[in-house]
Amino acid sequence: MFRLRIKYEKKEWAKFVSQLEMVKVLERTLRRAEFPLAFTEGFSLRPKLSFGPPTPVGFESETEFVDVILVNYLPEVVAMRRLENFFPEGFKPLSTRYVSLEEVSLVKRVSFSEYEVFLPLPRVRSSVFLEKIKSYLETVSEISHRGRLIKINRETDFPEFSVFLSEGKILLRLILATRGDKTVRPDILILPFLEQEEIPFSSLRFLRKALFFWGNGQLKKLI
Amino acid sequence: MRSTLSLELVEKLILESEKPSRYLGTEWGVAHKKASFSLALIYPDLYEIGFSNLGIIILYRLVNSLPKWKCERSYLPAPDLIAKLKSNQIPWWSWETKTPLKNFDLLGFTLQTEYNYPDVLTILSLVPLPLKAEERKNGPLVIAGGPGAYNPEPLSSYIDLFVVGEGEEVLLDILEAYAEVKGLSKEKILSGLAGIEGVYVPLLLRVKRKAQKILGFESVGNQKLPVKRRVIADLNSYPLAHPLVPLAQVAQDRCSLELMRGCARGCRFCQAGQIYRPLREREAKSFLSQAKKILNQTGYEEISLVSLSTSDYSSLASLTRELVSWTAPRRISLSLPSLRLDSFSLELAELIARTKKTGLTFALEAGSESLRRRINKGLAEKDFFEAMEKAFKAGWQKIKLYFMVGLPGESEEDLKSISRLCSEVLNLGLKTLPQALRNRLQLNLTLSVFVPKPFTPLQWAESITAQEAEERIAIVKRSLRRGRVRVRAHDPSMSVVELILARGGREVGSLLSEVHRLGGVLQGWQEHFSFSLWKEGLQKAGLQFENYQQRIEVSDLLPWDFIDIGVRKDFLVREWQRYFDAQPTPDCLKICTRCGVCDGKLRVIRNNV
Repeated sequence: MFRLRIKYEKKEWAKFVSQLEMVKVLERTLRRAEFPLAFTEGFSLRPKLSFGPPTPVGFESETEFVDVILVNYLPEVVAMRRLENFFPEGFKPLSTRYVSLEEVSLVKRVSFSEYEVFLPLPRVRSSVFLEKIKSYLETVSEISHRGRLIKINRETDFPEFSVFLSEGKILLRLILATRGDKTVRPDILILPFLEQEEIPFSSLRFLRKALFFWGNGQLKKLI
Repeated sequence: MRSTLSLELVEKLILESEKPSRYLGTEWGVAHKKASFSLALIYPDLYEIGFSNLGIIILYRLVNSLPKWKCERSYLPAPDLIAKLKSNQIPWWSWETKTPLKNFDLLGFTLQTEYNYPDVLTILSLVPLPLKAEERKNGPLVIAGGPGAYNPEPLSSYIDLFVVGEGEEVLLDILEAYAEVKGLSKEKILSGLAGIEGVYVPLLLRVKRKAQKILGFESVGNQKLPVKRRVIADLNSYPLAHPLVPLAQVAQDRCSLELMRGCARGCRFCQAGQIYRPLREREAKSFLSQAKKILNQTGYEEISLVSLSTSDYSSLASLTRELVSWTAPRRISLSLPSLRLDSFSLELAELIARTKKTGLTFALEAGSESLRRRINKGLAEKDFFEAMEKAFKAGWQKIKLYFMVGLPGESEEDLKSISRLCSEVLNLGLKTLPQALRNRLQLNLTLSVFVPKPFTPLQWAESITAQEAEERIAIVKRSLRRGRVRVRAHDPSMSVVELILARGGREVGSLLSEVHRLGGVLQGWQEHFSFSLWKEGLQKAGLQFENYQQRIEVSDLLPWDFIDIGVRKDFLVREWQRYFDAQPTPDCLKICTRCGVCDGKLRVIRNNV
């Protein structure tokens, strides 16, 4: 058995495909690409796939991961080429590499996600707007979302952010918790600010840039 | 109203919609094409229902194989998006390129169920186009086909041209002619197309009536009468249509391939059994090689062999054996819908079970043997239980049985027979299933209400009221053994609507426009269906349900009598009579029943391998 880790991007219309839907989309892609898939036993025969933390529907991503168990070795470059040919429009393989069968699952391993959020230029002066959003992000400690109160611990949930002007848009970079016990979504984090500033949610673009895990006391990028 | 759409706007609307992935149009296998002429095939229901429709897929592939034409798809937007499109005056679009539908040359609706009719109007209003065909001077021609086109009259005010019969040949005739006359006035184009066999242009037909009674039909131009159904002689002349692979979850999410068309059985309530005659099988060897190629190219993990009566396929056992020997090692499961119990073999059950034991579904339709004889589904109980025993021994635990209530002459005893059959199936299952599986035994019982359909021997039959249907369903439920049986009953008030749309004439058009005006969408969905809205519509249109519910005299002209499906009317009358005499008619593979369809050019085609 071999465990192949596929990193891929999900852009354009593909960003609307949910993680649940992705299971079938990927299975069929791998079948078309004739990957030597290992299957679960029992009533429902499914290939052994394990996905990284899900990206919310509507977010683009340059950092989607899935581990696939193969019964035979398939050279990484061959796997790459086949994925390039058989992924549906909007998906693109970025890398393939073998990892140990024993390695902890992707979902358990990942601790943080890096997001980029593109906001339209504000009606007020950009510098004023930048200060406003900075001040909001520096002070936000809890968010009320759909009747639920989400506490934000700056250190453990939201360690880093930056905001600046880029190519006629406001670009917001956020590092947010993506763990089993706590996940902070960038859209939920900034929603109160958007409402306060009357910025329509649909004018924003979200991109997940990277995933991070703890290794030797340091945050490392998952590749 | 905009004539083009920015992708940014479309993306924004999709993002804000309830389920964005249903609107993508980037499914695996879609055709991206530039061509001089364009057709949008439209399924007037949500994407997840319409996506797998085989007719759409067949025509989509066919039209996209033509150098001059491109074909895209469209479906009904969900109510949340409908509201946004309307309030922002945004034109409805096609899936592949998000092109406004009004920029297409032709819009082709498929009419698969009567419940979709109001949504033909919904989509026309979203294009936007005037609803009435006579009010549309410009813009795309609106055409419609599918089983609903066999009684086109309820929609005849809204459609420019109906295609009666199988689309493969007649659609190409229409496209070829259209490409030559595009630019002429709509009247001239329609008049030209009306000369093509299988084409019906409602504006060119006058229905002579005296009050409710139809006195005759008259062509007021180039319309050929009767309108003859178009049929393809041999399915093997057409390759299997390569299905698309969805990204969103859809209702029939599997690789559906048409194994044969038509049915030799002649169940007297079944419209498909009449309008798709004669039975034409695909040649097994070619089917297999195409199926393997398609499975490889699509990556589907399940294949379904589509037909009206799969177990009648002449070499089903050998075909299944060969297919399973290829699919099983690849972990691809096989489903065989429309199996009949009388020819169901243990070998077949076991073969399918090698990959996945999904439930077994059987349509018995009537509980008593005598009523089954009347509807010409002469399945003997002895054979039924023998087959069930085989199925249980092979380890099937989930059994689904379909029955109808409301057949003419149905007695309380007939209804109680449904419950008795269910009890006996359960007893047999508990006795026969391997010990370890007995706890999992489950029987799903689906009860629907009989609706007489055009071109069936029961087309003249009376239909029961919603209240009577409720009572009959209650009789079945009351006499059922509790536990292990899950009952799903069709909403009787929905069947009332189905009846009016199935058996109505041109006058029903005003009901549809009222229902549309009152906001009726997705009326085939229990959660969206509103009977009060239809009642209000009936009242406003000045129509009465009773007029559609009554038994019709065979001497009366029916709204669809200007259509000739090849099956002779005297055959249907004979079969109607045999219903009352409880006389079975053998399937036409055993003996020709002289229905009139086979004419030398058209004949039953069996796979001889």
